[in-house]
Amino acid sequence: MSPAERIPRVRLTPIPDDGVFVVRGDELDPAVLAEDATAFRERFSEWGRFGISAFYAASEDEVDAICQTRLVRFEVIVVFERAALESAGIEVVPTFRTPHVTLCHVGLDQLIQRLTACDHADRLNPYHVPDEGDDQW
Amino acid sequence: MVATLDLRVDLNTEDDTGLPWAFLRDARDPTLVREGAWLIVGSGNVRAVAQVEQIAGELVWVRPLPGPVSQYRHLLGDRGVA
Repeated sequence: MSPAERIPRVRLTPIPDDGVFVVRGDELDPAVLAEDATAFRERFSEWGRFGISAFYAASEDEVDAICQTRLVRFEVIVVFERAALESAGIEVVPTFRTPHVTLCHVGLDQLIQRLTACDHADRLNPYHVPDEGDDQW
Repeated sequence: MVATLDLRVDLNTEDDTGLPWAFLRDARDPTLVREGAWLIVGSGNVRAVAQVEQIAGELVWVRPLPGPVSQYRHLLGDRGVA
């Protein structure tokens, strides 16, 4: 990897003020989140932060659209208020392509503890199609 | 029962490719991971069938399909036989 690839691309345009929701697929399992955040830290080692991928949304309609597209494979999604994340000391950074964001902190334990303790709603994704063949795998 | 993962991928991730990515070391069997191969990917409670789009060193990018794993078992060869 080149040095440039060890830092995530932060979009020049900040998250809009109306980007009030942050959405991520799957329940908040601390062990899974820690693995994801550690992989991010390793890949983007020059940035010095642990990170978790998510998406911002300006409205319930946009949350719905994300459920139908990027998060369609997830049976459960979690929805945060962006202000709650920031109040908890988690940076919400616009990274890569809109509406992707990275939820980050310099400390792994702090990130996971703050994220799991932050107010959020677990929701069933109405667009998810369950795997009817689960018992055959 | 949840399908066995071929490659652990957080399907929330993306980078400037627009695709989820993972480390090759997180493959159950790294010999399965080659460009164009179809794999069962995911993490936590989510599983999907995905095609390996690119491999660069230790990094792997995948293009997941939208439906359930069982819908695409024909793409998985012997691993797709119930």
